Amino acid sequence: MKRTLIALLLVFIVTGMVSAQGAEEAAGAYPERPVEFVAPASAGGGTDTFCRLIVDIINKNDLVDGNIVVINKPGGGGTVGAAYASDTNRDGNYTLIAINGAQALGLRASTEVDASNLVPIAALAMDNVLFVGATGSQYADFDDVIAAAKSNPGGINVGVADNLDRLCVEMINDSVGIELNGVYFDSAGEISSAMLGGHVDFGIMNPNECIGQIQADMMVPLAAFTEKRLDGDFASAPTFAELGYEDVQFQMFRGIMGGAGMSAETVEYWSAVFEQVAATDQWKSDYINKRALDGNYMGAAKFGPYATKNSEQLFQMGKKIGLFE
Amino acid sequence: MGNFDLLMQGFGTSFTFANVLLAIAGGFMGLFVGAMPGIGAVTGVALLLPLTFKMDPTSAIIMLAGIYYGNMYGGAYSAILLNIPGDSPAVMTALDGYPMSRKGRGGKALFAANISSFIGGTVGIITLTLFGPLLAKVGLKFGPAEIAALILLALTSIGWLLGEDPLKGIVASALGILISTIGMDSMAGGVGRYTFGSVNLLSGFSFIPLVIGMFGLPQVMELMAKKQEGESLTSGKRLTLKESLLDRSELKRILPTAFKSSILGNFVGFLPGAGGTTGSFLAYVLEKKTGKNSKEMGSGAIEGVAASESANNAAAVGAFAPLLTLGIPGSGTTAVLLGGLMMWGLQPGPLLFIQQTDFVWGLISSMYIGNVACILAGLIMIPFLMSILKIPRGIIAPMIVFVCIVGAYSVNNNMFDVWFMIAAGVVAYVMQKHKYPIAPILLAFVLAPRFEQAIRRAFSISNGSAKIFIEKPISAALLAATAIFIFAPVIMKLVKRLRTK
Amino acid sequence: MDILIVIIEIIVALVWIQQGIVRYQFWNDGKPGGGFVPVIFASLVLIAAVAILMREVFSKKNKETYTFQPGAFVPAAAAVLGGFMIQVLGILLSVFLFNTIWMRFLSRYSWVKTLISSVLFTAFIYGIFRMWLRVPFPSGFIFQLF
Repeated sequence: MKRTLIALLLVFIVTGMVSAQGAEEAAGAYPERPVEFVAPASAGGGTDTFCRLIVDIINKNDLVDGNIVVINKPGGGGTVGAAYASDTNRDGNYTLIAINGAQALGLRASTEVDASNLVPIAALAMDNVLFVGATGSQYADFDDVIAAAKSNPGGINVGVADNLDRLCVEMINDSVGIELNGVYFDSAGEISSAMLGGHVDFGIMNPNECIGQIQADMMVPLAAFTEKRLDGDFASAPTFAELGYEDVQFQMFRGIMGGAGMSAETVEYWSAVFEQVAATDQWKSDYINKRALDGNYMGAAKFGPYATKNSEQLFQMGKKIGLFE
Repeated sequence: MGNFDLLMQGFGTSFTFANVLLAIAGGFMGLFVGAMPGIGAVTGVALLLPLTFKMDPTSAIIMLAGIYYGNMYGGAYSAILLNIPGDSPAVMTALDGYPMSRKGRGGKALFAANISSFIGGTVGIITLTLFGPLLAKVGLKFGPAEIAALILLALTSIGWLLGEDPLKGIVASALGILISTIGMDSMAGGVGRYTFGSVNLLSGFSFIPLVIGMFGLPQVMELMAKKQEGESLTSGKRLTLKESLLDRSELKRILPTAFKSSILGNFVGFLPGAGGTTGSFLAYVLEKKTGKNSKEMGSGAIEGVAASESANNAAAVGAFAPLLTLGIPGSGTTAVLLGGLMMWGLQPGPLLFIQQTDFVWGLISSMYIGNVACILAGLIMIPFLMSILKIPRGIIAPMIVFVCIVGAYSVNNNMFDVWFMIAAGVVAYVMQKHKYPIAPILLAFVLAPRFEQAIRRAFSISNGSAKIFIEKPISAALLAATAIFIFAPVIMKLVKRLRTK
Repeated sequence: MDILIVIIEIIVALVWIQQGIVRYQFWNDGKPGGGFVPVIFASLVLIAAVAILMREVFSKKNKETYTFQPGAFVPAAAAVLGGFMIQVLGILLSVFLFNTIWMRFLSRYSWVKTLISSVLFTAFIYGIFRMWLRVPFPSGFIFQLF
């Protein structure tokens, strides 16, 4: 008697759990199950903020009838997350991944990870790049930088946070004919402390990484890698074209790709969603304007070839200077 | 207006009934999350941050301060109770805390951890209030060369400090460094090192699976090796709350240690890129070298718990100074908070102190409130935590093993970490049985990447010249201290030998 | 066994030194390369390990004190099993079955005690890690089949 009771109880609990587990994957129109949005970076960083803000906007405006979960897969400069998202055992239709220009370059250069089966969906913004110095140093403008670098070749240090930043330094070296020394740091924050402490001379940064220090007059943007001058706090920085170096120009895309084998309809579904996200006021004010990005939206048709071309160009450049094998 | 008036004004905005409740609620949540292996302070705050987006910034930051503090307190709990440090500074806490538990003094260890955390937090906040901007500027003087010298000082003391066999201690710490070199080489454009072609190794091993594997699993293996059933973790000793309260002599033992360690830890916290682990480790070393009970340390000395916990909490507060005064996050958690500030529409940076005085002093005052809330929450939780020690082995063992699995998985949401955790556990168990100390592996693993980056950055800045380490006064002094540390015991021995002759 | 561990350490150190010098470079372009720190500390492992080896071989005092206890490896084996269970059955069922099997058949508790503690523990893990902290566990290989 007791034995049957226990057996019954066991069966009861187990079936309850099976159905609960099953309920997590409830059915309906697409998306039938929660969609995994992979942030190939740790919580709190630029890529993570990008992902979480997008999901926040989608939820607030009811753009998707279902659940999107942000999953952090940090490591390897984005390659670990990309390896996860491009796994062919996964259902590509339920996988999204945020990829930026630096991560795309890392993937192109990686010999360990092949993520070419990720499906481009859309680019939501272009991030700008600045050449920044500390206020009160001996360098008041970019001409001072050139003069210093000419008298001390290889002795002027520029903090960089990844390969892309390093390439920006090489672009300057190539075009101006000087030899600035790129020193790797883990993040823009670390570059800031080293620069303010006088341990390196300059830094390569995105506008949102230095806006606070620029407003407080602790740092000065000395030149911008942009096509036109930026507004507001960055207006004092001339573009490299203005300084006479037309080919020093660069922007980093921030886009979203789908998992391996995402169907054409699903790509269309998501690019419509992200187009709506990019059109909201919250996106424009909280992300684009506040962080001095350019908000040009690119659909799948444009973004795919662009991303490939962009990382290929950068890869070849890096190869030339011996950054990659 | 002086800082004191501003602080009082800050209390004016933050000290409302609702906010105090939020702080306590945050404290409980933080304690809980911090005590879960696999969810560190960074993840904890990041996961709970969205909860606060709907509140006004002041209430939100108060709740976050509670969560943050709770996390720091909570990391010690699992270290003491289960030998599973919740975060990297808690490794030092486990060294003495867990032996205390096994001897039936787990309750005392918990109380000591709570009180020391409170002291560390308080010393940290007071320093932040009085000298925050100044110390942040001093911190900037620590560039790559200085940080490299500081961590070298910590690294050289590891092997000597722990374990009975110095040779095996050296092997253990150097092996920890080798493990840490696996993965992406961030200093050379992100090339994989020692990955042997594996994608999973590309990101390197994470600390949490390693620590769960090397500390948590072996201790269950130890329990299962002996065949005595029905016994609880404390080997059958009875635990009562009354006996677990600290008596006066014990308080006397921990107070000086806690203050000394708080000041040291707090200062390390101000340095960019040194981290709380360096702080709690150096404080432990200091206590071991100068304290009265140094012989007992490592086998259940209450001072060990006090030194580690107070230094790590003080360092955690110190990390706020660069964030608030320079807009530069000094630790992973403050980086998450930086993201939070932006979500609330605040521009983090040096101007925050000038333009948003309400907010900044509200934040600082909420750190006082958060700290008090946490010690209250902690004291309420201790009796419940102590009951974990009374659970018989046969029941707790499967639970610990499963929590180890879940904790390892949660760090990167990756099964690979689970397999790694188990492998690390078996290796650690076997090594331990052959008298290799395990803690040096973990400490070296945490400190080595920072050391490697700093030393290579310094060489990169100086274009390959080693002079940079000697020319700078701070790094030269630290290197001299390191040299003394290495050679002093040798010289002392020589002198002794000469004298006896 | 002691000597076996030392030999493994020496092999690891040699691999690290070889790779560090050949592939990642000790000194590169006037700066420390990717092999700088690994080679230095691998050399340290090598020296210390050889010293331990010499001591083991030449001293007669140091007898092996460790006795193999098979019971110790039960938790490790169980953890491997638990890992597979999560992948196949999903988190919920795995916690429950893992705890139930261990308590009933390893610790030999009564069914009643076992079930009560398993249900509570399952609720604890699921409530905290899955519902509150939203850890995305594998959804269970079996469930994907349907």
